[in-house]
Amino acid sequence: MSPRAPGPPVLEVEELSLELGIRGRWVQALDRVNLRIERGEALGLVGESGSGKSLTALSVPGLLPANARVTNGAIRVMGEHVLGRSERELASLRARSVAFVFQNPTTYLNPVLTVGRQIAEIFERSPELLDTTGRAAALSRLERRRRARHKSIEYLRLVRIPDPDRIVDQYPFALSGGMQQRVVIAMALARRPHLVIADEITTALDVTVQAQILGLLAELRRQIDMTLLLITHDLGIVAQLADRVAVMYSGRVVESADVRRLFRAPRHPYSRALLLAVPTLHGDRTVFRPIPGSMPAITDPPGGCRFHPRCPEVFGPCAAARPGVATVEDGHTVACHLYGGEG
Amino acid sequence: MAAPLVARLYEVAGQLRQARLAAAGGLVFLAILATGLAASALIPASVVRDVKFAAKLAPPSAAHWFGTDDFGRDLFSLVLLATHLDLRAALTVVSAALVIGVGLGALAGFVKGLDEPLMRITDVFLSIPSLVLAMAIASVLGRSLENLSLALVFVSWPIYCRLMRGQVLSEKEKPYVRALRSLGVGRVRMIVRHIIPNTVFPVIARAPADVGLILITLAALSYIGFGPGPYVPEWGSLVAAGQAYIFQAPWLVLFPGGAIFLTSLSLNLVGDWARDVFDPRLRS
Amino acid sequence: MTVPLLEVQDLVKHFPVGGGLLARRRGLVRAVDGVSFQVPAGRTFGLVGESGCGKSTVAMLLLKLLEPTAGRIAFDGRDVAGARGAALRDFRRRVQIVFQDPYGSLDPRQTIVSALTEPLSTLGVVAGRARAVERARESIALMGLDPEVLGRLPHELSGGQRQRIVIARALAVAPQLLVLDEPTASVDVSLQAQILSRLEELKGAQGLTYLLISHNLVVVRSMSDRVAVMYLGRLVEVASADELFTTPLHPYAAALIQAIPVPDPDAPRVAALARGDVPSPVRIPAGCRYHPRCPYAERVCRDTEPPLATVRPGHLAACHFPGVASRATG
Repeated sequence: MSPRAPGPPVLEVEELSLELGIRGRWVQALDRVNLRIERGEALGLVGESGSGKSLTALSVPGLLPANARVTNGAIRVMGEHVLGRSERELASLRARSVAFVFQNPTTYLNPVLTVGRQIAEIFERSPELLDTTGRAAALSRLERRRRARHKSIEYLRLVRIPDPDRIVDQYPFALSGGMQQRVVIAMALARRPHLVIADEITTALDVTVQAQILGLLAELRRQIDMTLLLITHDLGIVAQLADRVAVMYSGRVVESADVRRLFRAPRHPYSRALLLAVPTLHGDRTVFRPIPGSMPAITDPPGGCRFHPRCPEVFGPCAAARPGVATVEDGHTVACHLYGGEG
Repeated sequence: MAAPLVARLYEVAGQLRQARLAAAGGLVFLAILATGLAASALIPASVVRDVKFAAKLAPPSAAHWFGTDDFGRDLFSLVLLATHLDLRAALTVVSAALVIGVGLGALAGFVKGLDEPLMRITDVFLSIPSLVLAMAIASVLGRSLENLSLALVFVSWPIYCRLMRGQVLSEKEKPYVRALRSLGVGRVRMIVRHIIPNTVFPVIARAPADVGLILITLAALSYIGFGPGPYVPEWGSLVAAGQAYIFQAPWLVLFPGGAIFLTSLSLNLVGDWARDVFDPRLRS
Repeated sequence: MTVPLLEVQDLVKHFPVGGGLLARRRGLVRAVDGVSFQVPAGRTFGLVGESGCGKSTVAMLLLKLLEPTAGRIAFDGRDVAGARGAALRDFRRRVQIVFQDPYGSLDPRQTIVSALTEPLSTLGVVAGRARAVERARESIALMGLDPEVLGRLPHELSGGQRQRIVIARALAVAPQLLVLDEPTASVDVSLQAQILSRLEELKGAQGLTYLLISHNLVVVRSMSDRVAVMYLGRLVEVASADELFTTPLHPYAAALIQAIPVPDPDAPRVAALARGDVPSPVRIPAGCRYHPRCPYAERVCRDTEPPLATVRPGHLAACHFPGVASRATG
């Protein structure tokens, strides 16, 4: 883990609440979500489908769907507010500060442009990335092109693509899923963003390829001090890559802690149950410990704590009141009545 | 910040609008249908032969609500009489073309050996411009409205055939077909109970729009002289005949043209709504 | 000695690439290239592999949804090739499959009750509508679903409900062998555990035999008695689940196992053992199929394809240097 560089946190999400318009009604999809990522840190945002983790991630670069509205809260990237910005300002943010890597690289890449062209496009849009002496505008077009291509090959090499001089002229269809995902990561890094958001980027990949990509991300973190918001449902990936973890359930962050703390001593009953429900390869044949019930539909949530109908430790206040956030240890917060808390 | 809210409002308004428009369209079409039936009962067919050159090209008045045509006949009666014939012609053409096209298209989709020959046959039909094809058939069979309708069936069925065949081919590959096979569902049952119900509706959804097209094609045929003639009341031939007097007596084109327009529009609205009702719930 | 419930011998399925009425055939996809294994009754046999290895094709061949290019499939001692009419119906009743995509596996226009009762009549399992509906209700309840789902259409239900419904549909005909093709691929972790534990219970209660096909080794390990690892159309290792996961003999098997991220932040990070990408079954490497990706490949691996041979009792591997991966990493 790299030492923390001083400066504002790269990402601060404060009390973010969001509603979705579904079938004519507004339903609460995010409930006062709080996140914080310092420079060089990797935060794993874990949750099952419907937990709100993707929505939270999408709200940072302003990529929310049309039927979403933010009802409360603030998002700051490098200290600057993001919510309420115009589309132009957000586009600029996406180009410079926040790079979003999606799940399916095939749909993200333009099939009619070579891989090299797609990376080079980034430099053509932001020519200052090409030049360190500050005279980017003075370069001729030819010179810019040459440098852009050179940089593209550099970034392909950075993501450990073999034979980058040849790959730079290939079209996406000629590349495998794993290679495509590496290209997308290269495109994200070419912008020299402050924050990289990776949303389930290995879900569509084979397991051996996933291992390679995860290894690559770990190396990149060390090599270029990358700040990462990692969204996944896979606890193994989180354990391997993240410094801190935030567990989400039905629109709320139910627990947030250092990765070791979370795996060794999870406090929230959902986190506990989730860790138990994941079978592992260790030890003898595993016993299945499923969590009864299923995540509530956001159109029909239970009252009080949203997890209470499935909670093995449910008691008095759980059905009636929304639990506040309690700090059980330094940097470890839980939203559960068992621990008191406010907010 | 307001953008998501506005988008949401648009969506809701759009749905309501669609339903209301479709209802309006449906009502208008039914009204036209009723008018056609009433007219054929109430207005004597002899109006067509009621030639009075002295009264020709008179503008709309109390005596003649739509004015008179170049033969001096009451345009209002003609347009109303034409309603029945036109609707009957257009609806039968589209229905027949649908039945033939869907049937052959389904066959092409299921029976590998029939696919190639059927597609080449549709190629031949589609390569001939529809008007030319209709003219050719009409010149052989004669220019009655019935024969023209038959000619238009020949013109229309290939598209439905192609559409249906495409739908069937892609539906066959869907995972549920495979799953049902493993559950013992035989070929015939698969086709009849599963594949056809899932594929036929998008094809049918095209039909209402095609009714308008047929009416316009009939007008075009009349325009080039292949129509049923001045003694058969038909909107298209009225428009074609009136075209020569468009500046002196625009009502000759406006009223029958308006009838085509209304029929086409109302059916389109109903068709759009029907297509949406049948399709989106199939998408998750 | 009892006959295994399912026996597969030298199963081959090749697909031509290109071709048609006038075009020349350009190549061959050797999706399944000589696969043999046995599944005794009452056991769970796991088949593991990544995309393109041919495991889904094996499933299609076993269900007679595809005809093999060569090889033999025997169910309950009888060769299933050429089964027609009543014999085919009987086979279908006894061997069922749950496909990977639960939403795609259901006719979007069919109500759930209809989806469940239809196979009961096509396979001649129950006579009469009333009995069929009764059976449908029982199957639904068996999978822990509320009977009100019977009146619904697939798109009105959640992914988890649909997955349980397709399992219920397969179980309703009372099969002997149930092939599960990636049963938890589209399902969340907590739901996965529910479905898998249910399947485990039902196996004992209904006397089922499972063939579990998955790329998720953790799921395979937790449910299987015996596991086969497939790569590019061939089995590269077959062993009991415990032995495979503690001492894999084939480097690919070892790589697969190592590749699973362990939910323990302090577990040692092992570098990915398989190099490069999963190759396409159109261009299968010469010699050992895995050699281009294998960090332990030697000359002989490029020249000769190793046969699937018994290395230890009950443990087969197709490798010139079985066990090299375990020795290297200790």
